[in-house]
Amino acid sequence: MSRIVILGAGISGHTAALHLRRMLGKQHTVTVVSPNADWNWIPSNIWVGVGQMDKRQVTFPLAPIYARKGIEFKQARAVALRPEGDSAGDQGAVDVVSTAPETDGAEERIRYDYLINATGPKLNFPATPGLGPDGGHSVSVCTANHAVDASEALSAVIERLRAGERQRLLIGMGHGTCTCEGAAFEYTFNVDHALREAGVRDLAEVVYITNEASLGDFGVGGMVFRQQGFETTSKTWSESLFRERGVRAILGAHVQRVEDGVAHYEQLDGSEQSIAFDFAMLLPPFRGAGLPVFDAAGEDITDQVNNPGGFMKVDADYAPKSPEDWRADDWPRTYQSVGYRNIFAVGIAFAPPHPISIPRKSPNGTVIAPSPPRTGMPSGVMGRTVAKTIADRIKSGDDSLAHTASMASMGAACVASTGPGLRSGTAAAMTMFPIVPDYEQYPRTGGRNIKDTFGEIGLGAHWLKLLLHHLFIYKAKAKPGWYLIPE
Amino acid sequence: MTTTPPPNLDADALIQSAPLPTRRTLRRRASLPLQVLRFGVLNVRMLRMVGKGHGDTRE
Repeated sequence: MSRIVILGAGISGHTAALHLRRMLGKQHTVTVVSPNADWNWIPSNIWVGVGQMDKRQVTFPLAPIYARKGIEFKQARAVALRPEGDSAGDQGAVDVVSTAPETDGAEERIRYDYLINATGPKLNFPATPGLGPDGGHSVSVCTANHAVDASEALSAVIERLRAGERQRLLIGMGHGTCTCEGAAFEYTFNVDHALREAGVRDLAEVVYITNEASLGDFGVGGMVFRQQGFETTSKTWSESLFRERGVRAILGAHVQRVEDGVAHYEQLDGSEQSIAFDFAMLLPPFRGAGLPVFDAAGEDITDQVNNPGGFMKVDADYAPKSPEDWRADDWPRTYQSVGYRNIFAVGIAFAPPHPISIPRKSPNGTVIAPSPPRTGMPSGVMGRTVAKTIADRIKSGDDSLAHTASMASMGAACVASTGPGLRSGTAAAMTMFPIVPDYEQYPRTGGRNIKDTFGEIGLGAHWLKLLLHHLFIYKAKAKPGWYLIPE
Repeated sequence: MTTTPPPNLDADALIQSAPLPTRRTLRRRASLPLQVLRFGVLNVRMLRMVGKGHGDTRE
């Protein structure tokens, strides 16, 4: 009888929990520890953030799902990891503190046989003074509640526009090392759509501010597409979309601080500038959960297990390399923790070996470099892969080979869609294969298979986004046949 | 770490020189029959991508 503990109930942790429960008999215990009571389909927060979808359409309570599936759920925050056990025994353990209203603050030490770290990102708003909705001067769409606040702020802007006041809306990345440029890109065009629907677009200036050195980079170094007999780039494709929609852009920017109605930023050329705004949706950089780790004697071994950013080190090649020496093989395949065969880190929780986009510094030494995205599709695939490895080891012995899923051999999609209706929306859909470029296998097309890397704008792409929204929520609710829907 | 700034941070100039879709392209993006077809094509391409990279491999 084994106990598997999963820290986090986002896309990767929830996927791993459902698959483990499906693959293992009831004599084994699957425990999910999450500080949040609800599951959130984060990609659709964008629609909540423009008031086109209700919060309840993108969230649902986890407890009833887990009760139905036979998964133990603890609404709690992990505060310490003890992979070698403690004075009571050598079985690994994790310390948690309850966040449930009825037991708030209660501490517990949970023993495990296998542990999956799927703790996701820590939203690092403090990295930029004045950033964020909690005491700062900007809104966010990182959580469903943030998105509700963003929607209310946007409604106020639209009212002022209707009254004839000109307004500037600043949308993008709130720090030089942010990731998820695709989300900010999508929110930009949703705001543009909302303003057009309200009939006030001509009085509004929409500005996209990004740490990307060029549009269309998306933190993955850009893509090469084949369109109408030509090879083009995601840069040209994105610039065309910005021109069509009349959206301005600020490139290669690190937001230094945000004040009431003003953002101060430095660009890659070293210049320092300010921009006034009436509305700002700026995403924060991410940190790892930074779970402290202790050995059996209680000594702190966090820096052996996690990297300085708080992400857990796994089977990647972390040797420092210049971008010319980056290889697809640098990226992890099994997500098994360094030093602990029964601990895995998936989704945003694992430490990437290096960025995917070329990292740059301004002449002042400021790092302005998109961090590698590892949300959505790849998170789900990692969760399922690790679940298979653990199930095999429980059923066939601990020496079973691990299942693998490298970001250098899997694809991903980003669909930036506007409007939830069937006829009124449009979308820019992009897919890439693989996520991490493999220049040895695909030397002439930007390290990617051009047949599976494409960009398309239109109503059909919008329907695809709607389909994905409903499919993934159906899957997450573990309704009949959920496991037939690919991650 | 590359210290050389990118060749062009003048986003306004870059955007203004980007290709602008024609009215015909914009109509095609909203055309119901054509977009039904494109939706099918997109789904096939997505499934092919998922089939290639989301499968099961071992160490």
